[in-house]
Amino acid sequence: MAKIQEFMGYPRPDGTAGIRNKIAVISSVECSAVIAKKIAEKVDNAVAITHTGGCGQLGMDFQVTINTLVNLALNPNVFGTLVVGLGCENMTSEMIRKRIEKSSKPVQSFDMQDVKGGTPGAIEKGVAIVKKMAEDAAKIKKEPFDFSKLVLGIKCGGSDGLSGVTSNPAVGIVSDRVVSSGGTSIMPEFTEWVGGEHLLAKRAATPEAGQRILDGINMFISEMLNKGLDFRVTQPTLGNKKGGLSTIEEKSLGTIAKTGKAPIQGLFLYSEKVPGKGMWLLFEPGHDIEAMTGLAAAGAQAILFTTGRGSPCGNILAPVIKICANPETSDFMAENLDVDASTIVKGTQTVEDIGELIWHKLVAVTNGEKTKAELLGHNEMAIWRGPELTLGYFEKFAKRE
Amino acid sequence: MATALANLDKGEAIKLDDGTQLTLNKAVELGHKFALKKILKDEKVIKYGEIIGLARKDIMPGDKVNENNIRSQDLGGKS
Repeated sequence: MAKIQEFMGYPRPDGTAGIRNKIAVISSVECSAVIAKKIAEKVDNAVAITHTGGCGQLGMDFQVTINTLVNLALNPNVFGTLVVGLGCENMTSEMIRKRIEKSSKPVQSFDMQDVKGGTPGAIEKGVAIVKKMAEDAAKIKKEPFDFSKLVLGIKCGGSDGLSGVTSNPAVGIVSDRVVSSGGTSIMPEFTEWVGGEHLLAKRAATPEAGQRILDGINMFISEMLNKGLDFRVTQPTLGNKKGGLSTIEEKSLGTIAKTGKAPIQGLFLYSEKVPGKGMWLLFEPGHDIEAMTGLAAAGAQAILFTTGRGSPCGNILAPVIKICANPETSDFMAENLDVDASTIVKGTQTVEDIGELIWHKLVAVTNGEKTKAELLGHNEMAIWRGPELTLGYFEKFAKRE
Repeated sequence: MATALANLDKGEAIKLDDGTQLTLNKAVELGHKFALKKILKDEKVIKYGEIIGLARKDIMPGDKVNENNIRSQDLGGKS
């Protein structure tokens, strides 16, 4: 048997392996978001994790936001975390810190209202803490890990009529190779499974997992319909139609080509860590930035992202590798793209050739090579607040802590 | 159903694998689809070997296929 692919990563106390070595500065509430951003700006390898909640959030909405923040801090690419609060929010910085502490990763917290000196005082205090953490992070020695430690996110955005027959099946080849190496692959975007969900359910590792995939989609559709909303009319998007996609089924069949042929282990909820190894589905409605934030919270160290129409988006923690098979976009947006798959359309390379090319790019990125999104500063993040709309489904399946 | 791998012009002759030939009734842009055979109104439209929707009207070989002449099955024709 061939030797399983290795990468040089950063060992973490919880047994995971980072491919980046970042310090997270989390704001517990929107009111401390600017302070978190200004702290992170002043230290190399520090990133601000901010959001619009934290104040007066309730129920499942509260749970999903706090679980996402905690699990982002637990992403293997994070060395340590500072949580900055205001001091009057119900999602306290202490609450977040205590949950991160359980992982034995470095974490500290403070509230701005407890620090003399207002904004400048809070920034000064935060920068001192984060600088010290960054010094400790720099002392971590990289070690070899095999791909069983890799959690890969697979996403498409700005798809066209070519994506489903070119770059998406090429990603499927890479996803299957990660899974057969003992690793993990995760696909979000359930709105783009509609019309192809029977194929995903058929590939489920257990009948229960298959049923849960179907239940997830059906419950979401019916709960939205009860509120007078039908999310299916949003698909395909105007851009998708311009690119040649005509129905939600056509888009979905192209989307799910990214999952390759591996058995599907199951479906898990947004904000949760991926429950195991192998191919998994994440319950998230295909909003690119929110999806990639959910993938990072699930534990993904890297994301493969195919695009036909073009997309610049990256992620706050996980390097995003952009793959494009549309010759016009590959030329027009070359500055944003990591793998040119347009040779499939031109007839000079096959889907298998491009799979090999993506695999080598993934190996390089896990070993530290920066993606275009990283070099351009595309560190987007946003937390999906949709569970407010779909309480029933989340109430039924969510794990509580 | 076929996917155009280049921008194709109206009237362009396309040779199929089985040796037959068809003529495009409309320009078909890169990534867009055209019909290889006749599809009657309300018949299933197949791509990837799976159903991607139903015909809104009769579709002739060489016709461009998009949201104007096919509809989602899942939406019962709303989109």
